Parts: sequence; structure tokens; C-alpha cells
Amino acid sequence: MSLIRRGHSSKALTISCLAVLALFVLGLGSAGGAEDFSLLAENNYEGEVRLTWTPVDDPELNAYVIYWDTEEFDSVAGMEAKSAERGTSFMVLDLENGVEHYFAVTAVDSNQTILAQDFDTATPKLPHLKEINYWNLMAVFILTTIIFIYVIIKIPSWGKGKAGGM
Amino acid sequence: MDDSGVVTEREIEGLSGAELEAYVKRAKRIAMISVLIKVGIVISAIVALIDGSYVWVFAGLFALVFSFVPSILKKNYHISIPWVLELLIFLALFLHVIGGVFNLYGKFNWWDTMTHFVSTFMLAVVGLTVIYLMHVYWDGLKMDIRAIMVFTVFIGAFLGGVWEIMEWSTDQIFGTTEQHGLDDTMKDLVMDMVGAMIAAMLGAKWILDGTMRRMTADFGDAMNEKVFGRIGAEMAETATDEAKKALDILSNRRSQDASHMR
Repeated sequence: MSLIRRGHSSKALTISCLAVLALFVLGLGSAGGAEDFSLLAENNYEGEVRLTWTPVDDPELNAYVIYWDTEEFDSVAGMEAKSAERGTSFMVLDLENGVEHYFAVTAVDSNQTILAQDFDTATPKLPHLKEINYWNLMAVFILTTIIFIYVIIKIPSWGKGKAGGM
Repeated sequence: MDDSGVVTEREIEGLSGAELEAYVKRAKRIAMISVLIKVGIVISAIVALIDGSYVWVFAGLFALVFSFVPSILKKNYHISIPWVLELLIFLALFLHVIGGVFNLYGKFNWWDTMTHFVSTFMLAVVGLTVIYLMHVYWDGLKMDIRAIMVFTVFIGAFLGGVWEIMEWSTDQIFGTTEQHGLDDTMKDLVMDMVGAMIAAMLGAKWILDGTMRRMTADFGDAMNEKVFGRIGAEMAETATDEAKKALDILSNRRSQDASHMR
């Protein structure tokens, strides 16, 4: 049958390759120097904060070292490093919801000399606890219910026995 | 049936010309969306792995493994899942996974509301399909389309309630925070009802215009052979036993009446 689909797996492969290529190109395009280094801490799903930072384009770069604490700080000196990454993002898990957390990421060389650093804050929270608009929600509910009742009344009955689309 | 096909012979029986072309075009478009969703799930799982967010890697892998279930059912058990159900199931999983991986739950207030709506909509469509198949293939159930619509809403509301009880139980047993207070639970239940009502109306439209019959033709045949046919045979057997008992009682009464007459 000519109408039957063929080769969807090859289409999927092509789309996957294009998507990976696009991610790669985007990643390459955003590389910058130490002076452009910036950290963004965002509340993710509950108890999680997602850290993303701009890449440092320095041949001496060894790793990005990550720090966080519930107390504010403006220097990482003497602080315990929580993780060291090669990439430009990191997900911090199991944080206490509703508590402001302070984050820092430093780009370091093999001697642990800081090439660049930045700080940011975020408060992990239950994301959908944000205000629920009661009136909007009830308007949607009541409107759907009215339409549903209208359809129930207007829809043609099948009558006795089995019928309808069969 | 052709395993590689978007549409099967049974689905397009009786269609010709522009109708056939439109049906196949729509089925191909939906199949392509399904493929894109699967690719999206793979990319999300990779991003989660890079982030070290293993909960979402697991969720992505679960969704991916689940995406093979329809083809396993088709190849091993000759059960073809209707493409609408397949699409809705993957869509619900996909929205949840990308919501977690790309921080969409945090960025958009409405993301959680939307995922609740889509999940219940999907479950209600599954419920409606099951009722429809029972109506068509099983002699034990006859329903008017209005009753099917109302029961679809009941199923959606029931499953939404079960979901909330599961969330609450998880919190009680494992100390998690799946439930975020009364407002959030009420919002979830309202969206469950809205999703179920829209599923009921759309399902009724599909039933009346024949789309449901076409979509479920293969699935219905398989269910009829493996489930409903068996139930029907058991019912027939039970009915025969009941009839025999009734005949025996009747025969005994007649004998008694005859002896009284004498």
C-alpha cells in the first residue's frame, strides 16, 4: 500500500542530528572571555536550583568550581568547593525550599588560580505555589461546564440499541 | 496490518478520494509529531545527564522505554494502540520531562496547570476509548453517547482524585512535598474536571464522525479477541446455566401444579 509510511526512523535520526548540531553551534557561539563571565542561578523544580554560566575562553582554564551557602558571601576564599565541572551548567539538588541560597562559580586553572568568578542568589521553592487566580480558574471551569451541558443536551441520541459511528 | 504503517488497512476501509487523502495526511502529521516528541525526550534526557539531574534522566529514560511499548504490543501481541492515545501519552510525559529539565515549572506559573490538564485529558480519552470499545464489542454494555460523555467525566474526576490521594500518601510515607496545600490540590482537581469534560466532548465528536471507529479498529479487534470475546463467552456460559436453572424451576412447578390438579 503506497499510503503507508516508510522511513520515519531515518527522519527521526535526521531531526536528532540537526538538533544536536544546533545545540553545538549555539554552544560554540556563546564562548567569551573572562571579563564577560556571568552566573545565573534560577529556581528549578522544587528544592532545585539550576546554575548556568558563560564559558571562559582561556587556554589555561581547568574547571569551573561551584560553591553555595545559605549565608551571604562575597569571596570564596576558605569556602568548601561543592563541585567542579567542565561544562557550563549545574543542577543543585536537595535544597531547602523557601530559603535564599547564595551561589558562586569560579573558573580556575590547574594551579587553582581564579581566572573569573561571579555570584548569584536563588530561592528554591514550590514552583506552582505561586498565587492561583481563583476567579480565572473558576471562569474556565464554569464556562467548560456550561459548554459541556449544552453539548449533552444538543448531541443527537443514538436511540435504542447500538449505533453511532459503527 | 503493516507494522511500519501510519495507517492500517482496517482504518481506511471504505474511504476513498479526498476523504482518504485527508485522513492519511492527518495521520502522517500526527505520526511526525510523535517522532518529534520522542526526539525531544531524548534531548531532554541528555541535557539532564549533562546537568547531573539524575531524577530527570530517569524520568526521560522511563518515557523513552515507555515509547517502545506500542511497538512491542504490536509486534508480540498484535495490539495496535490508537495513534491519538499514543500521542497523548507521549505528550504528557514529554511536557513533564522538559518542564523539569528546562526549568519550565519554575519559569511559568501555568506550566503545572497545563501538565495537569493534558494528563487528565489523556486519561479521560483512554477511559472514553475503553467505554466505546466495550459498547461496540461487548454485549454486556450498551450506552447512549450522552452516558459515554458523562462517564468519561466521571473517569477523569475519579482518576484525578486517585492521583491526589497517591500524592498525599507519598508525602505521608516518604516525607516528600508532592502536595502543596489546599489551593494547589483544588486547582489540580478543577483542571482535571476541565480536561475530562473537553475529552468527553472531543471524544463524542470523534465517535459521531467515525474517527473513533477508524482509530480503534485494530485495537478493538485485538481487545475483542483477547478480552471481550472471552468475557462474552463466560457470560454466555453463565446465562446458559441460569436459563437451565430457570427451566428446572419451571419444570418442577409444573410437575407440582399437575400433581395438585390430580
